[in-house]
Amino acid sequence: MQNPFLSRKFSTIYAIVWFVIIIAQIVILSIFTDSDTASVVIQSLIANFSFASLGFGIWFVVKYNLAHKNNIHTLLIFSISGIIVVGLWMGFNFIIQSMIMKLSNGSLNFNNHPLYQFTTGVFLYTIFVLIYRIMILFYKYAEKARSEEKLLKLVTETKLHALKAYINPHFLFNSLNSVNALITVNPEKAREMLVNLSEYFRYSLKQKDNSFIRLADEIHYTLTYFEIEKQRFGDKIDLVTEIDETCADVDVPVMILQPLFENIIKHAVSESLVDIKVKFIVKNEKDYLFISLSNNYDIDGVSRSGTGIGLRTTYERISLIYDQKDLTQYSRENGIFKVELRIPLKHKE
Amino acid sequence: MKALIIDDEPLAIQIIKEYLGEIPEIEIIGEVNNGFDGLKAINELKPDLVFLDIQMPKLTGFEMLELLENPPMIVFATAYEEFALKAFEKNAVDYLLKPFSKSRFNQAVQKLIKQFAENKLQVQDYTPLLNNINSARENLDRIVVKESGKILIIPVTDVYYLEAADDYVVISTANKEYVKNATMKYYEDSLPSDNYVRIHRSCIININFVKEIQPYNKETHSVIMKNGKSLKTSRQGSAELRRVLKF
Repeated sequence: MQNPFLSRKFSTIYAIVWFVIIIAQIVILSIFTDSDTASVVIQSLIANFSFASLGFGIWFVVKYNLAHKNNIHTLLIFSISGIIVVGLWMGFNFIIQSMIMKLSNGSLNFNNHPLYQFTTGVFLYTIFVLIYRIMILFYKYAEKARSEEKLLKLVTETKLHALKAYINPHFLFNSLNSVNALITVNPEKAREMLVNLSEYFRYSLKQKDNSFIRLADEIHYTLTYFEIEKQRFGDKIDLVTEIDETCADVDVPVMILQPLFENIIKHAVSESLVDIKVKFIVKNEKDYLFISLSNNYDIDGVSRSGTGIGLRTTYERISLIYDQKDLTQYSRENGIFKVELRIPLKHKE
Repeated sequence: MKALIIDDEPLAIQIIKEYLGEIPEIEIIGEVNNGFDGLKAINELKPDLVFLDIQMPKLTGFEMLELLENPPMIVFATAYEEFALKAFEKNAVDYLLKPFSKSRFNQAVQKLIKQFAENKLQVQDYTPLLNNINSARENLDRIVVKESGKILIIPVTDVYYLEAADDYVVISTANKEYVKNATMKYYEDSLPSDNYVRIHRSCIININFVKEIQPYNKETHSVIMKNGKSLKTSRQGSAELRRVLKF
Protein backbone atom coordinates (compact mmCIF):
# COMPACT_ATOMS: atom_id res chain seq x y z
CA MET A 1 0.00 0.00 0.00
CA GLN A 2 1.40 3.38 -0.91
CA ASN A 3 1.55 6.43 1.33
CA PRO A 4 -2.07 7.54 1.90
CA PHE A 5 -0.98 11.18 1.87
CA LEU A 6 -0.43 10.81 -1.86
CA SER A 7 -4.16 10.48 -2.21
CA ARG A 8 -6.00 13.77 -2.37
CA LYS A 9 -9.04 12.24 -0.71
CA PHE A 10 -7.08 11.07 2.31
CA SER A 11 -5.22 14.37 2.68
CA THR A 12 -8.50 16.29 2.57
CA ILE A 13 -10.10 14.11 5.23
CA TYR A 14 -6.94 14.40 7.33
CA ALA A 15 -7.05 18.20 7.14
CA ILE A 16 -10.76 18.31 7.96
CA VAL A 17 -10.37 16.03 10.99
CA TRP A 18 -7.57 18.17 12.40
CA PHE A 19 -9.55 21.31 11.75
CA VAL A 20 -12.47 19.86 13.73
CA ILE A 21 -10.12 18.82 16.56
CA ILE A 22 -8.61 22.31 16.73
CA ILE A 23 -12.04 23.97 16.84
CA ALA A 24 -13.29 21.51 19.46
CA GLN A 25 -10.23 22.02 21.61
CA ILE A 26 -10.52 25.81 21.44
CA VAL A 27 -14.19 25.69 22.38
CA ILE A 28 -13.65 23.26 25.24
CA LEU A 29 -10.64 25.06 26.67
CA SER A 30 -12.40 28.45 26.43
CA ILE A 31 -15.40 27.18 28.31
CA PHE A 32 -13.79 25.01 30.94
CA THR A 33 -10.56 26.90 31.73
CA ASP A 34 -10.02 30.50 32.64
CA SER A 35 -7.37 31.10 29.97
CA ASP A 36 -7.93 34.01 27.60
CA THR A 37 -9.16 33.14 24.09
CA ALA A 38 -6.04 34.33 22.26
CA SER A 39 -3.81 32.04 24.31
CA VAL A 40 -6.14 29.11 23.85
CA VAL A 41 -6.28 29.61 20.06
CA ILE A 42 -2.52 29.92 19.64
CA GLN A 43 -1.77 27.04 21.97
CA SER A 44 -4.23 24.79 20.22
CA LEU A 45 -2.91 25.71 16.77
CA ILE A 46 0.71 25.03 17.70
CA ALA A 47 0.04 21.73 19.45
CA ASN A 48 -2.24 20.33 16.81
CA PHE A 49 -0.34 21.53 13.75
CA SER A 50 2.81 20.00 15.07
CA PHE A 51 1.14 16.70 15.76
CA ALA A 52 -0.56 16.72 12.39
CA SER A 53 2.89 17.04 10.80
CA LEU A 54 4.34 14.28 12.96
CA GLY A 55 1.37 12.09 12.01
CA PHE A 56 2.81 11.96 8.53
CA GLY A 57 5.92 10.31 9.89
CA ILE A 58 4.02 7.78 12.00
CA TRP A 59 2.82 6.21 8.75
CA PHE A 60 6.32 4.99 7.99
CA VAL A 61 6.76 3.57 11.47
CA VAL A 62 3.57 1.55 11.05
CA LYS A 63 4.20 0.52 7.50
CA TYR A 64 7.76 -0.77 8.01
CA ASN A 65 7.02 -2.30 11.34
CA LEU A 66 4.44 -4.62 9.80
CA ALA A 67 7.24 -6.57 8.20
CA HIS A 68 8.17 -8.06 11.58
CA LYS A 69 6.29 -11.07 12.77
CA ASN A 70 7.69 -11.00 16.32
CA ASN A 71 5.21 -9.33 18.70
CA ILE A 72 7.70 -8.22 21.35
CA HIS A 73 9.89 -6.72 18.67
CA THR A 74 6.91 -4.88 17.22
CA LEU A 75 5.80 -3.60 20.61
CA LEU A 76 9.31 -2.39 21.37
CA ILE A 77 9.59 -0.47 18.11
CA PHE A 78 6.17 1.09 18.59
CA SER A 79 7.02 2.12 22.15
CA ILE A 80 10.40 3.62 21.26
CA SER A 81 9.09 5.49 18.25
CA GLY A 82 6.10 6.59 20.36
CA ILE A 83 8.39 8.07 23.01
CA ILE A 84 10.44 9.77 20.29
CA VAL A 85 7.37 11.20 18.56
CA VAL A 86 5.74 12.41 21.78
CA GLY A 87 9.08 13.75 23.06
CA LEU A 88 9.68 15.65 19.84
CA TRP A 89 6.19 17.03 19.94
CA MET A 90 6.42 18.18 23.57
CA GLY A 91 9.86 19.70 23.03
CA PHE A 92 8.73 21.54 19.96
CA ASN A 93 5.62 22.85 21.69
CA PHE A 94 7.65 23.96 24.69
CA ILE A 95 10.20 25.89 22.62
CA ILE A 96 7.63 27.62 20.41
CA GLN A 97 5.35 28.44 23.32
CA SER A 98 8.22 29.89 25.33
CA MET A 99 9.31 31.99 22.37
CA ILE A 100 5.81 33.32 21.82
CA MET A 101 5.34 34.06 25.51
CA LYS A 102 8.62 35.99 25.52
CA LEU A 103 7.69 37.94 22.38
CA SER A 104 4.26 38.83 23.72
CA ASN A 105 5.82 40.16 26.95
CA GLY A 106 3.58 38.03 29.11
CA SER A 107 0.29 39.11 27.56
CA LEU A 108 -0.15 35.53 26.34
CA ASN A 109 -0.04 32.80 28.88
CA PHE A 110 0.06 29.08 28.13
CA ASN A 111 -0.44 26.77 30.95
CA ASN A 112 -0.24 23.10 30.31
CA HIS A 113 0.92 20.47 32.61
CA PRO A 114 3.64 18.17 31.10
CA LEU A 115 1.79 15.10 32.31
CA TYR A 116 -1.39 16.25 30.62
CA GLN A 117 0.61 16.91 27.42
CA PHE A 118 2.34 13.56 27.60
CA THR A 119 -0.97 11.72 28.04
CA THR A 120 -2.49 13.58 25.11
CA GLY A 121 0.57 12.80 22.96
CA VAL A 122 0.50 9.10 23.77
CA PHE A 123 -3.25 9.01 23.18
CA LEU A 124 -2.92 10.68 19.77
CA TYR A 125 0.03 8.50 18.82
CA THR A 126 -1.94 5.34 19.69
CA ILE A 127 -4.93 6.52 17.68
CA PHE A 128 -2.65 7.17 14.70
CA VAL A 129 -1.03 3.76 14.88
CA LEU A 130 -4.41 2.06 15.16
CA ILE A 131 -5.92 3.94 12.22
CA TYR A 132 -2.91 3.26 10.00
CA ARG A 133 -2.86 -0.40 10.94
CA ILE A 134 -6.54 -0.77 10.23
CA MET A 135 -6.06 0.93 6.86
CA ILE A 136 -3.21 -1.38 5.93
CA LEU A 137 -5.05 -4.50 7.07
CA PHE A 138 -8.12 -3.47 5.16
CA TYR A 139 -6.06 -2.84 2.05
CA LYS A 140 -4.33 -6.21 2.39
CA TYR A 141 -7.65 -7.93 2.86
CA ALA A 142 -9.06 -6.33 -0.29
CA GLU A 143 -5.94 -7.27 -2.21
CA LYS A 144 -6.14 -10.86 -1.03
CA ALA A 145 -9.77 -11.07 -2.06
CA ARG A 146 -8.79 -9.74 -5.48
CA SER A 147 -6.00 -12.26 -6.00
CA GLU A 148 -8.20 -15.10 -4.77
CA GLU A 149 -10.83 -14.14 -7.27
CA LYS A 150 -8.19 -14.16 -9.99
CA LEU A 151 -6.99 -17.59 -8.96
CA LEU A 152 -10.51 -18.95 -8.93
CA LYS A 153 -11.11 -17.60 -12.43
CA LEU A 154 -7.92 -19.23 -13.63
CA VAL A 155 -8.84 -22.58 -12.12
CA THR A 156 -12.24 -22.49 -13.78
CA GLU A 157 -10.68 -21.55 -17.11
CA THR A 158 -8.14 -24.34 -16.87
CA LYS A 159 -10.81 -26.84 -15.96
CA LEU A 160 -12.91 -25.76 -18.86
CA HIS A 161 -10.05 -26.15 -21.27
CA ALA A 162 -9.11 -29.52 -19.87
CA LEU A 163 -12.69 -30.63 -20.27
CA LYS A 164 -12.62 -29.56 -23.89
CA ALA A 165 -9.40 -31.47 -24.43
CA TYR A 166 -10.91 -34.62 -22.91
CA ILE A 167 -13.66 -34.73 -25.41
CA ASN A 168 -11.98 -33.03 -28.36
CA PRO A 169 -14.55 -33.93 -31.02
CA HIS A 170 -12.20 -33.19 -33.88
CA PHE A 171 -9.74 -35.78 -32.64
CA LEU A 172 -12.47 -38.31 -31.91
CA PHE A 173 -14.17 -38.09 -35.29
CA ASN A 174 -10.97 -38.09 -37.31
CA SER A 175 -9.79 -41.13 -35.40
CA LEU A 176 -13.07 -42.91 -35.99
CA ASN A 177 -12.74 -42.06 -39.66
CA SER A 178 -9.31 -43.73 -39.67
CA VAL A 179 -10.77 -46.80 -37.98
CA ASN A 180 -13.47 -46.86 -40.65
CA ALA A 181 -10.78 -46.91 -43.34
CA LEU A 182 -8.69 -49.57 -41.56
CA ILE A 183 -11.56 -52.01 -41.18
CA THR A 184 -11.22 -53.20 -44.77
CA VAL A 185 -7.49 -52.75 -45.39
CA ASN A 186 -6.14 -53.86 -42.02
CA PRO A 187 -8.76 -55.19 -39.59
CA GLU A 188 -6.10 -56.03 -36.99
CA LYS A 189 -4.90 -52.41 -36.92
CA ALA A 190 -8.50 -51.19 -36.83
CA ARG A 191 -9.16 -53.27 -33.77
CA GLU A 192 -5.98 -52.02 -32.09
CA MET A 193 -6.86 -48.40 -32.78
CA LEU A 194 -10.39 -48.83 -31.48
CA VAL A 195 -9.10 -50.34 -28.26
CA ASN A 196 -6.54 -47.56 -27.90
CA LEU A 197 -9.25 -44.96 -28.42
CA SER A 198 -11.48 -46.56 -25.80
CA GLU A 199 -8.65 -46.81 -23.34
CA TYR A 200 -7.67 -43.19 -23.81
CA PHE A 201 -11.22 -41.90 -23.52
CA ARG A 202 -12.00 -43.98 -20.47
CA TYR A 203 -8.87 -42.61 -18.82
CA SER A 204 -9.65 -39.02 -19.65
CA LEU A 205 -13.28 -39.25 -18.55
CA LYS A 206 -12.80 -40.89 -15.19
CA GLN A 207 -10.15 -38.49 -13.94
CA LYS A 208 -11.22 -35.89 -11.46
CA ASP A 209 -9.80 -32.43 -11.88
CA ASN A 210 -6.41 -31.90 -10.31
CA SER A 211 -6.00 -35.39 -8.95
CA PHE A 212 -2.65 -37.16 -9.11
CA ILE A 213 -1.56 -40.22 -10.99
CA ARG A 214 1.51 -42.45 -11.17
CA LEU A 215 3.90 -41.16 -13.78
CA ALA A 216 4.03 -44.58 -15.45
CA ASP A 217 0.24 -44.46 -15.95
CA GLU A 218 0.26 -40.89 -17.20
CA ILE A 219 2.94 -41.81 -19.72
CA HIS A 220 1.08 -44.95 -20.74
CA TYR A 221 -2.17 -43.08 -21.50
CA THR A 222 -0.41 -40.18 -23.16
CA LEU A 223 1.47 -42.53 -25.44
CA THR A 224 -1.78 -44.37 -26.15
CA TYR A 225 -3.16 -41.04 -27.29
CA PHE A 226 -0.07 -40.39 -29.39
CA GLU A 227 -0.24 -43.85 -30.91
CA ILE A 228 -3.71 -43.01 -32.21
CA GLU A 229 -2.41 -39.79 -33.74
CA LYS A 230 0.51 -41.67 -35.29
CA GLN A 231 -1.95 -44.05 -36.86
CA ARG A 232 -3.87 -41.09 -38.30
CA PHE A 233 -0.86 -39.34 -39.79
CA GLY A 234 1.06 -42.43 -40.81
CA ASP A 235 4.79 -42.11 -41.30
CA LYS A 236 4.76 -38.40 -40.67
CA ILE A 237 5.48 -38.76 -36.95
CA ASP A 238 8.60 -40.34 -35.52
CA LEU A 239 8.75 -40.74 -31.73
CA VAL A 240 11.87 -41.48 -29.71
CA THR A 241 11.53 -42.01 -25.95
CA GLU A 242 14.13 -42.07 -23.20
CA ILE A 243 12.34 -42.93 -19.98
CA ASP A 244 14.10 -43.58 -16.69
CA GLU A 245 12.13 -46.50 -15.22
CA THR A 246 13.01 -45.52 -11.66
CA CYS A 247 10.63 -42.57 -11.98
CA ALA A 248 7.60 -44.79 -12.58
CA ASP A 249 6.05 -44.31 -9.15
CA VAL A 250 6.35 -40.53 -8.91
CA ASP A 251 2.94 -38.88 -8.56
CA VAL A 252 2.18 -36.24 -11.15
CA PRO A 253 -0.95 -34.15 -11.83
CA VAL A 254 -3.21 -36.07 -14.14
CA MET A 255 -3.35 -35.03 -17.83
CA ILE A 256 -0.23 -32.95 -17.54
CA LEU A 257 1.58 -34.55 -20.49
CA GLN A 258 -1.23 -35.13 -22.95
CA PRO A 259 -1.71 -31.40 -23.80
CA LEU A 260 1.98 -31.15 -24.70
CA PHE A 261 1.69 -34.02 -27.17
CA GLU A 262 -1.57 -32.63 -28.49
CA ASN A 263 0.21 -29.36 -29.06
CA ILE A 264 2.73 -31.09 -31.31
CA ILE A 265 -0.10 -32.51 -33.40
CA LYS A 266 -1.87 -29.18 -33.65
CA HIS A 267 1.04 -26.91 -34.40
CA ALA A 268 3.72 -29.08 -35.93
CA VAL A 269 2.16 -32.15 -37.54
CA SER A 270 -1.02 -30.50 -38.88
CA GLU A 271 0.82 -27.42 -40.08
CA SER A 272 3.86 -28.88 -41.71
CA LEU A 273 4.70 -30.73 -44.91
CA VAL A 274 7.83 -32.34 -43.50
CA ASP A 275 8.03 -35.31 -41.14
CA ILE A 276 8.02 -34.50 -37.44
CA LYS A 277 10.60 -36.07 -35.14
CA VAL A 278 9.54 -36.09 -31.49
CA LYS A 279 11.89 -36.73 -28.61
CA PHE A 280 10.51 -37.49 -25.15
CA ILE A 281 12.86 -37.66 -22.17
CA VAL A 282 11.97 -38.44 -18.54
CA LYS A 283 14.60 -38.58 -15.81
CA ASN A 284 15.47 -37.82 -12.21
CA GLU A 285 17.16 -34.54 -11.49
CA LYS A 286 17.98 -33.93 -7.80
CA ASP A 287 14.69 -33.03 -6.13
CA TYR A 288 12.81 -32.89 -9.37
CA LEU A 289 11.36 -35.10 -12.01
CA PHE A 290 12.64 -33.74 -15.29
CA ILE A 291 10.54 -34.08 -18.43
CA SER A 292 11.61 -32.80 -21.83
CA LEU A 293 9.64 -32.94 -25.05
CA SER A 294 11.04 -31.57 -28.28
CA ASN A 295 10.02 -31.57 -31.91
CA ASN A 296 10.97 -29.95 -35.18
CA TYR A 297 8.44 -27.67 -36.84
CA ASP A 298 8.01 -25.79 -40.09
CA ILE A 299 9.87 -22.48 -39.71
CA ASP A 300 8.07 -20.94 -42.68
CA GLY A 301 4.67 -21.81 -41.27
CA VAL A 302 2.47 -18.84 -40.49
CA SER A 303 1.18 -19.80 -37.10
CA ARG A 304 -2.53 -19.67 -36.66
CA SER A 305 -4.14 -17.97 -33.75
CA GLY A 306 -4.66 -19.99 -30.59
CA THR A 307 -1.07 -21.14 -30.57
CA GLY A 308 -0.13 -22.90 -27.40
CA ILE A 309 -3.38 -22.98 -25.46
CA GLY A 310 -2.50 -26.51 -24.41
CA LEU A 311 0.90 -25.32 -23.22
CA ARG A 312 -0.62 -22.50 -21.24
CA THR A 313 -2.99 -24.90 -19.53
CA THR A 314 -0.14 -27.12 -18.45
CA TYR A 315 1.97 -24.17 -17.37
CA GLU A 316 -0.85 -22.65 -15.31
CA ARG A 317 -1.84 -25.92 -13.72
CA ILE A 318 1.70 -26.71 -12.67
CA SER A 319 2.33 -23.27 -11.22
CA LEU A 320 -0.97 -23.40 -9.34
CA ILE A 321 -0.47 -26.90 -7.98
CA TYR A 322 3.15 -26.44 -6.89
CA ASP A 323 2.93 -22.71 -6.23
CA GLN A 324 6.12 -22.14 -8.19
CA LYS A 325 6.38 -20.19 -11.43
CA ASP A 326 9.60 -21.47 -12.93
CA LEU A 327 8.78 -25.15 -13.39
CA THR A 328 7.91 -24.89 -17.07
CA GLN A 329 10.23 -23.67 -19.79
CA TYR A 330 9.88 -23.36 -23.54
CA SER A 331 12.44 -22.70 -26.20
CA ARG A 332 12.29 -22.33 -29.94
CA GLU A 333 15.68 -22.64 -31.57
CA ASN A 334 16.88 -23.70 -35.00
CA GLY A 335 13.50 -25.09 -35.95
CA ILE A 336 13.22 -27.15 -32.76
CA PHE A 337 10.50 -26.48 -30.25
CA LYS A 338 11.21 -27.76 -26.77
CA VAL A 339 9.19 -27.88 -23.55
CA GLU A 340 10.81 -28.71 -20.24
CA LEU A 341 8.94 -29.51 -17.04
CA ARG A 342 10.28 -29.93 -13.56
CA ILE A 343 7.95 -31.61 -11.11
CA PRO A 344 8.98 -31.40 -7.44
CA LEU A 345 9.39 -34.91 -6.04
CA LYS A 346 8.38 -33.89 -2.54
CA HIS A 347 5.00 -32.32 -2.70
CA LYS A 348 2.88 -31.51 0.31
CA GLU A 349 -0.64 -32.54 -0.57
CA MET B 1 -15.92 -37.83 -64.26
CA LYS B 2 -12.42 -37.18 -62.95
CA ALA B 3 -11.89 -36.84 -59.21
CA LEU B 4 -9.03 -35.55 -57.05
CA ILE B 5 -8.72 -36.28 -53.32
CA ILE B 6 -7.06 -33.75 -51.00
CA ASP B 7 -6.55 -34.76 -47.37
CA ASP B 8 -3.58 -34.75 -45.00
CA GLU B 9 -4.44 -38.10 -43.41
CA PRO B 10 -3.54 -41.16 -45.53
CA LEU B 11 -6.36 -43.23 -44.06
CA ALA B 12 -8.90 -40.54 -44.86
CA ILE B 13 -7.82 -40.73 -48.51
CA GLN B 14 -7.94 -44.51 -48.27
CA ILE B 15 -11.61 -44.64 -47.31
CA ILE B 16 -12.67 -42.30 -50.12
CA LYS B 17 -10.70 -44.40 -52.59
CA GLU B 18 -12.38 -47.51 -51.31
CA TYR B 19 -15.89 -46.06 -51.60
CA LEU B 20 -15.13 -44.68 -55.07
CA GLY B 21 -13.93 -48.12 -56.19
CA GLU B 22 -17.54 -49.15 -56.56
CA ILE B 23 -18.56 -46.18 -58.64
CA PRO B 24 -17.63 -46.69 -62.29
CA GLU B 25 -18.64 -43.14 -63.31
CA ILE B 26 -15.79 -41.65 -61.31
CA GLU B 27 -12.11 -42.07 -62.03
CA ILE B 28 -9.51 -41.04 -59.44
CA ILE B 29 -6.83 -38.98 -61.15
CA GLY B 30 -4.79 -38.01 -58.13
CA GLU B 31 -4.41 -37.68 -54.40
CA VAL B 32 -2.46 -35.03 -52.51
CA ASN B 33 -2.00 -34.23 -48.83
CA ASN B 34 -1.99 -30.44 -48.59
CA GLY B 35 -3.56 -27.30 -50.01
CA PHE B 36 -0.50 -26.16 -51.97
CA ASP B 37 -0.21 -29.41 -53.89
CA GLY B 38 -3.98 -29.44 -54.19
CA LEU B 39 -3.96 -26.11 -55.96
CA LYS B 40 -1.24 -27.25 -58.33
CA ALA B 41 -2.98 -30.56 -59.03
CA ILE B 42 -6.29 -28.85 -59.77
CA ASN B 43 -4.66 -26.48 -62.26
CA GLU B 44 -2.70 -29.25 -63.96
CA LEU B 45 -5.08 -32.19 -63.88
CA LYS B 46 -8.32 -30.22 -64.23
CA PRO B 47 -10.55 -32.60 -62.23
CA ASP B 48 -14.33 -32.32 -62.44
CA LEU B 49 -14.70 -33.13 -58.79
CA VAL B 50 -12.58 -32.64 -55.66
CA PHE B 51 -12.93 -34.32 -52.30
CA LEU B 52 -11.52 -31.71 -49.97
CA ASP B 53 -10.49 -31.74 -46.32
CA ILE B 54 -10.55 -28.40 -44.48
CA GLN B 55 -7.81 -28.54 -41.84
CA MET B 56 -4.53 -29.11 -43.69
CA PRO B 57 -0.94 -27.87 -43.45
CA LYS B 58 -0.02 -24.55 -45.13
CA LEU B 59 -3.27 -23.87 -46.87
CA THR B 60 -6.67 -24.88 -45.53
CA GLY B 61 -9.34 -26.26 -47.85
CA PHE B 62 -11.18 -22.94 -47.73
CA GLU B 63 -8.08 -20.89 -48.46
CA MET B 64 -7.28 -23.13 -51.40
CA LEU B 65 -10.78 -22.70 -52.74
CA GLU B 66 -10.46 -18.90 -52.47
CA LEU B 67 -7.50 -18.99 -54.83
CA LEU B 68 -9.10 -21.04 -57.58
CA GLU B 69 -10.29 -19.09 -60.60
CA ASN B 70 -12.29 -21.91 -62.10
CA PRO B 71 -13.15 -24.21 -59.26
CA PRO B 72 -14.44 -27.71 -60.01
CA MET B 73 -17.29 -29.25 -58.01
CA ILE B 74 -16.28 -29.69 -54.39
CA VAL B 75 -17.30 -32.20 -51.77
CA PHE B 76 -16.00 -31.30 -48.34
CA ALA B 77 -14.97 -34.22 -46.18
CA THR B 78 -14.12 -33.08 -42.68
CA ALA B 79 -14.59 -33.70 -38.98
CA TYR B 80 -15.39 -30.02 -38.43
CA GLU B 81 -18.97 -29.40 -37.59
CA GLU B 82 -18.48 -25.79 -36.58
CA PHE B 83 -19.19 -24.37 -40.01
CA ALA B 84 -22.72 -23.47 -40.79
CA LEU B 85 -24.11 -26.48 -42.59
CA LYS B 86 -26.94 -24.35 -43.90
CA ALA B 87 -24.46 -22.50 -46.08
CA PHE B 88 -23.75 -25.71 -47.92
CA GLU B 89 -27.33 -26.69 -48.47
CA LYS B 90 -27.84 -23.68 -50.69
CA ASN B 91 -24.81 -24.39 -52.80
CA ALA B 92 -23.72 -26.91 -55.37
CA VAL B 93 -21.54 -28.77 -52.93
CA ASP B 94 -21.92 -31.46 -50.37
CA TYR B 95 -20.44 -31.76 -46.93
CA LEU B 96 -19.46 -35.14 -45.54
CA LEU B 97 -18.90 -35.33 -41.82
CA LYS B 98 -16.19 -37.80 -40.87
CA PRO B 99 -16.69 -40.63 -40.31
CA PHE B 100 -19.29 -41.09 -43.03
CA SER B 101 -21.10 -44.22 -44.19
CA LYS B 102 -20.96 -45.66 -47.66
CA SER B 103 -24.61 -44.82 -48.25
CA ARG B 104 -24.13 -41.19 -47.22
CA PHE B 105 -21.09 -41.03 -49.50
CA ASN B 106 -23.03 -42.55 -52.40
CA GLN B 107 -25.80 -40.05 -51.86
CA ALA B 108 -23.32 -37.19 -52.29
CA VAL B 109 -21.79 -38.80 -55.35
CA GLN B 110 -25.17 -39.36 -57.03
CA LYS B 111 -26.08 -35.74 -56.44
CA LEU B 112 -22.84 -34.66 -58.08
CA ILE B 113 -23.17 -37.01 -61.04
CA LYS B 114 -26.64 -35.60 -61.66
CA GLN B 115 -25.44 -32.06 -61.40
CA PHE B 116 -22.46 -32.74 -63.61
CA ALA B 117 -24.79 -34.06 -66.33
CA GLU B 118 -27.14 -31.11 -66.04
CA ASN B 119 -24.84 -28.12 -66.04
CA LYS B 120 -21.59 -29.26 -67.39
CA LEU B 121 -20.75 -25.85 -68.71
CA GLN B 122 -21.82 -23.83 -65.74
CA VAL B 123 -18.99 -22.26 -63.81
CA GLN B 124 -19.05 -22.97 -60.10
CA ASP B 125 -19.10 -19.89 -57.94
CA TYR B 126 -18.14 -20.43 -54.34
CA THR B 127 -17.75 -16.80 -53.35
CA PRO B 128 -21.04 -16.54 -51.42
CA LEU B 129 -20.27 -19.81 -49.71
CA LEU B 130 -16.78 -18.73 -48.69
CA ASN B 131 -18.05 -15.39 -47.47
CA ASN B 132 -20.61 -17.19 -45.43
CA ILE B 133 -18.15 -19.63 -43.94
CA ASN B 134 -15.50 -17.05 -43.18
CA SER B 135 -18.00 -14.77 -41.50
CA ALA B 136 -18.98 -17.67 -39.31
CA ARG B 137 -15.37 -18.16 -38.30
CA GLU B 138 -14.41 -16.34 -35.18
CA ASN B 139 -11.35 -14.48 -36.31
CA LEU B 140 -9.43 -14.34 -39.51
CA ASP B 141 -5.73 -14.77 -38.77
CA ARG B 142 -4.17 -14.80 -42.20
CA ILE B 143 -5.00 -13.80 -45.74
CA VAL B 144 -3.94 -15.89 -48.70
CA VAL B 145 -3.19 -14.08 -51.96
CA LYS B 146 -1.85 -15.03 -55.33
CA GLU B 147 0.82 -12.89 -56.90
CA SER B 148 2.41 -13.66 -60.27
CA GLY B 149 1.76 -17.37 -59.87
CA LYS B 150 3.05 -17.54 -56.31
CA ILE B 151 0.88 -18.07 -53.27
CA LEU B 152 1.58 -15.76 -50.37
CA ILE B 153 0.26 -16.10 -46.86
CA ILE B 154 -0.01 -12.78 -45.06
CA PRO B 155 -0.62 -12.83 -41.31
CA VAL B 156 -3.34 -10.28 -40.60
CA THR B 157 -1.04 -8.69 -38.01
CA ASP B 158 1.17 -7.53 -40.91
CA VAL B 159 -1.68 -5.78 -42.68
CA TYR B 160 -1.64 -1.97 -42.35
CA TYR B 161 -4.93 -1.18 -44.07
CA LEU B 162 -7.44 -2.47 -46.61
CA GLU B 163 -9.11 -0.34 -49.27
CA ALA B 164 -12.06 -1.03 -51.54
CA ALA B 165 -11.48 -0.86 -55.29
CA ASP B 166 -14.48 -1.84 -57.42
CA ASP B 167 -15.08 -5.56 -56.86
CA TYR B 168 -11.71 -5.99 -55.21
CA VAL B 169 -10.03 -5.21 -51.95
CA VAL B 170 -6.49 -3.85 -51.94
CA ILE B 171 -4.56 -5.14 -48.93
CA SER B 172 -1.56 -3.06 -47.88
CA THR B 173 1.33 -4.12 -45.67
CA ALA B 174 4.34 -1.96 -44.73
CA ASN B 175 5.49 -1.57 -48.32
CA LYS B 176 3.44 -3.89 -50.54
CA GLU B 177 -0.05 -4.05 -51.93
CA TYR B 178 -2.05 -7.15 -52.75
CA VAL B 179 -5.32 -7.46 -54.59
CA LYS B 180 -7.98 -9.89 -53.53
CA ASN B 181 -11.41 -10.67 -54.89
CA ALA B 182 -13.48 -10.07 -51.76
CA THR B 183 -15.73 -7.53 -50.11
CA MET B 184 -15.10 -4.93 -47.40
CA LYS B 185 -18.07 -6.33 -45.50
CA TYR B 186 -16.36 -9.69 -45.38
CA TYR B 187 -13.17 -8.27 -43.89
CA GLU B 188 -15.06 -6.04 -41.52
CA ASP B 189 -16.90 -9.10 -40.19
CA SER B 190 -13.99 -11.49 -39.99
CA LEU B 191 -11.03 -9.38 -38.83
CA PRO B 192 -10.68 -9.08 -35.03
CA SER B 193 -12.68 -5.94 -34.23
CA ASP B 194 -10.46 -4.77 -31.39
CA ASN B 195 -7.58 -4.11 -33.78
CA TYR B 196 -9.20 -3.46 -37.15
CA VAL B 197 -11.51 -0.51 -37.56
CA ARG B 198 -13.59 0.45 -40.54
CA ILE B 199 -12.87 4.16 -40.70
CA HIS B 200 -14.69 4.70 -43.97
CA ARG B 201 -17.03 2.86 -46.32
CA SER B 202 -13.97 2.04 -48.40
CA CYS B 203 -11.26 1.61 -45.76
CA ILE B 204 -10.34 -0.60 -42.81
CA ILE B 205 -7.20 0.14 -40.79
CA ASN B 206 -5.08 -1.83 -38.35
CA ILE B 207 -4.89 0.48 -35.34
CA ASN B 208 -1.49 -0.91 -34.37
CA PHE B 209 0.07 0.86 -37.34
CA VAL B 210 -1.48 4.26 -36.78
CA LYS B 211 1.13 6.97 -36.31
CA GLU B 212 -1.01 10.05 -35.98
CA ILE B 213 -4.61 11.17 -36.09
CA GLN B 214 -5.31 14.73 -37.16
CA PRO B 215 -8.62 16.58 -37.31
CA TYR B 216 -9.70 17.00 -40.92
CA ASN B 217 -13.17 18.46 -40.84
CA LYS B 218 -15.39 19.24 -37.93
CA GLU B 219 -16.36 15.64 -37.47
CA THR B 220 -13.84 13.70 -39.51
CA HIS B 221 -10.17 12.89 -39.19
CA SER B 222 -7.14 12.17 -41.26
CA VAL B 223 -5.25 9.06 -40.13
CA ILE B 224 -1.52 8.89 -40.87
CA MET B 225 -0.19 5.34 -40.93
CA LYS B 226 3.35 4.36 -39.92
CA ASN B 227 4.31 3.93 -43.58
CA GLY B 228 3.31 7.52 -44.29
CA LYS B 229 -0.03 6.79 -45.96
CA SER B 230 -2.79 9.23 -45.09
CA LEU B 231 -6.38 7.98 -44.92
CA LYS B 232 -9.62 9.92 -44.42
CA THR B 233 -12.34 8.86 -42.05
CA SER B 234 -16.06 9.28 -42.51
CA ARG B 235 -18.18 10.74 -39.71
CA GLN B 236 -19.25 7.28 -38.66
CA GLY B 237 -15.67 6.04 -39.04
CA SER B 238 -14.42 8.78 -36.72
CA ALA B 239 -16.96 7.79 -34.11
CA GLU B 240 -15.85 4.17 -34.40
CA LEU B 241 -12.18 5.15 -34.14
CA ARG B 242 -12.92 7.24 -31.07
CA ARG B 243 -14.71 4.32 -29.49
CA VAL B 244 -11.84 1.89 -30.08
CA LEU B 245 -8.93 4.23 -29.32
CA LYS B 246 -10.80 6.14 -26.61
CA PHE B 247 -9.75 9.65 -27.53
